[in-house]
Amino acid sequence: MYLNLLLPLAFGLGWTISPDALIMIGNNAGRAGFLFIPAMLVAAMYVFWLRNLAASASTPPAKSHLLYAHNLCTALALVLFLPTGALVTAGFTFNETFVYWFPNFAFAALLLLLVVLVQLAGERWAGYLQLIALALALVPLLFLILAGLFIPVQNSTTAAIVAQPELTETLYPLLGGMLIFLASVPDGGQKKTRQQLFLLLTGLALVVGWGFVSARHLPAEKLATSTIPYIQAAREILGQEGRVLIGITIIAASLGLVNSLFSNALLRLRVYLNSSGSTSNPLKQPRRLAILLFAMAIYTALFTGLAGGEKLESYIFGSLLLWLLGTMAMAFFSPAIQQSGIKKIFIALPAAVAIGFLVLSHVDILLLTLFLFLACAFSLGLTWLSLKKVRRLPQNN
Amino acid sequence: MLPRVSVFLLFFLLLTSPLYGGSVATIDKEELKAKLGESDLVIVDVRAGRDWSTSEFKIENAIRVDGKDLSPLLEFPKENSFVFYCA
Repeated sequence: MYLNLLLPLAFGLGWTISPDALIMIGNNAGRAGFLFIPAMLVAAMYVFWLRNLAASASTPPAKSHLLYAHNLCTALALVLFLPTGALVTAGFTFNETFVYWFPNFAFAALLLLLVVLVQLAGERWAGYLQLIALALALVPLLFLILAGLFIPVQNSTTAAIVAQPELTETLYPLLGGMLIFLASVPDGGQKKTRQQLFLLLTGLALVVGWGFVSARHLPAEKLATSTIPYIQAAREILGQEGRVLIGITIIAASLGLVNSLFSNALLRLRVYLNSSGSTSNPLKQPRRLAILLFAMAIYTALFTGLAGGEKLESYIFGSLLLWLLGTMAMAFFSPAIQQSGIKKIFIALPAAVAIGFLVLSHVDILLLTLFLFLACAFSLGLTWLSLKKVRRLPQNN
Repeated sequence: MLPRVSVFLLFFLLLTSPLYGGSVATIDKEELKAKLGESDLVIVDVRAGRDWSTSEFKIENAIRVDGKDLSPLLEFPKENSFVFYCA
């Protein structure tokens, strides 16, 4: 029974406490100051509302092919770009915190190999790995949060939590905060709402807790602009021990993120193949082939130096925006909307504003827009393939 | 047979081409540490992307420059010692 609750939570938190999410949390806390907590609360509630609506969605057949294709496209983008970034981060963390002579890329490659081997062993083993990775990530993080709450602050007058944020600066955490809470539980029927709520509350507690202690111990500008706010906060809270603890969290959370994204991509692939009328056992050999293809793509990205360029950040950001877009689109088809009379515009407006704002405030608007455009075109292509295959199936009279 | 061997040799040569490039003097961390503070020393950080952003350690007073565009270094006298460091 506990596994039914813990496993979806473990997979969901794979994104919420990943290195990229921790960077967003730190930067947002630095920008918003004391408004960080209400901003995260509003962002989390909105995404939960979308997720809840999406869970009860019943899509008309033609539109469902588009949604499944979009979800698959999003999952493929996420499984390629986020692990590339996270594995590099884990490699550098291992090299700089633990074993300086061990090559960082070799460590990243070994982490990926571990995920591949476990995924090839089966879904049950992937679940065990996820639980272990999240436990290893959460324990040090929770310890740091508790320490951050009770250890006296060295210079409380300059801390981000007491700074007066500009109103325009709080917009980014409010809208960008939605991206932190995008993770959801896999399809789970009636229990899904309870699981989703548990995931939301746990994620919110961790995000608010870590953001609060970071803002309590670091100045606003340093926290808002740092590329490694989690290390700086941990170091400020517990010194060298803090660095070691956050190092364990980063490496374990990277492992959890990669594993959860692999599982998510395989699930979306299965749903897509089912929707296009594949056989009843669609994903035995294709599952193993898919795992190997994902791994090869990530290895290629790592060793061709994608992480050494600025474009990766745009691709990661674009993948997250696709995720938000898909979540919003799924919510449109909820019968609850028709029953309550809520106009679809009120559901879509915050997400649409968020996507527009985040694109326009990104450092490389052109590349991000091009990425989103190509991803949508790819989704349409997958939809066309799916519909074509369905039309070819023999009709049973 | 010959075309396949030719393709393989070409690929091998391309892959190992950095070995045939001109040699560049290197410096280890102890030597650099001893030179820190010298007026003619310019430390140039050419790391990009996550190689730079996820690294905790940045050498104090190092200048960050795009590895493909070293023009910002033109403002320094040519006689200075330039130390480039990467991931």
